[in-house]
Amino acid sequence: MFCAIHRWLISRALDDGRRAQPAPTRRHVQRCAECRRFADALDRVHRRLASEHPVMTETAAPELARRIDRALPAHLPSAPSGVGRLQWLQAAAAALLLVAVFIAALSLPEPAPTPAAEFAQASPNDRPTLNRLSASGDLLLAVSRRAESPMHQEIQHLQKHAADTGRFIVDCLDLRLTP
Amino acid sequence: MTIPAPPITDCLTDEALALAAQAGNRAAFTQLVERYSSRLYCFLRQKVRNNQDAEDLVQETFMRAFQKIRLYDSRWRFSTWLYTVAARLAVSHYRKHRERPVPAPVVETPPDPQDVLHRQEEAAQVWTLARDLNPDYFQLLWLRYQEEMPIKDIAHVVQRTRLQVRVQLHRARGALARKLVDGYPEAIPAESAGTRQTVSCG
Repeated sequence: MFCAIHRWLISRALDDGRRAQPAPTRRHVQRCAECRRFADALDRVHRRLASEHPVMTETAAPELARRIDRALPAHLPSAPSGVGRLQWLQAAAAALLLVAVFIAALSLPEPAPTPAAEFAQASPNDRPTLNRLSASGDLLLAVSRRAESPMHQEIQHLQKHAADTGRFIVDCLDLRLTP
Repeated sequence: MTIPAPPITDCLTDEALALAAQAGNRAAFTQLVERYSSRLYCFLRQKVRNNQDAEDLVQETFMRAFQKIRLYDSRWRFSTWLYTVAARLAVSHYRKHRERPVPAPVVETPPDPQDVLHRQEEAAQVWTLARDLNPDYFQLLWLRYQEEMPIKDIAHVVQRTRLQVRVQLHRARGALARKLVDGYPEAIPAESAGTRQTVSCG
């Protein structure tokens, strides 16, 4: 049963020296005479292919090697100019990226005035209310932090990322430019 | 004061020689030519019409490798890289010369007994028989057994999937076994053939 599958697995096992035939295939080969013959034949061919070497009769091998060597230029080509050009392109791209990130960071809107600043500018009429609010100091602090955080933190994160990116690119360039 | 080039010995690996050639060592490249020219010739001979074309292709392969040696990545085996160059050049060559000339009529001459004996001896060689197979089969057997390439590298050289390479190697070995081994089981037993059909349909 399943001879075709087992034969495929027998053949496949030959291509991977580390892996022997799977156990079900080994059991099948023990039972099936045809597949045993197939495995033996394939094993014989495999061993002969691996051990025998073809004879190069059509041409004299040393002469061919000599002829090729004579046809090759005397010196190996110097470093292709493309590599240098690529490094300059990388440097230019990195610089452009840094400038873009810097401009993006600058062009973001100013953060909204903090509640503390508004408190200082408030009219005398508003003072009682504000005084009541300031009485619960912790609450006000938490609220003010929450109010000032979105844009402020975003810009801080952006600046941090820009700095990290810049440092990363400079590190990369240093590595690549090292001979 | 000049520093003498490091001696190139036979014990250096192909990859070490290729790295030396990348650093500008011409002698290292010569050594690679000596190691690979005949192997490449045997590999390419099956893909082209005659010996001259095969020799030209070998030369072109080394010329290309010489120019592009700096692109060689030492994570790959050098043989994989070189054979990939050769296989692609062979494909280009085949496309250029697709129209094959009509072979000249063969003049019948009585066979030389010594020649007949030589041919009989030669026929016993497994690689002589392999040459009569489909050129693609020969190519895969060559890379697998003479160059001892893993399936992954063979797939890279011949631009096929690993499964395709495995299937073709399976067929190539079967075709060779049919020629070499007496009593090779040609067909799958009837019972199994039915099973195979069921499996492939299911």
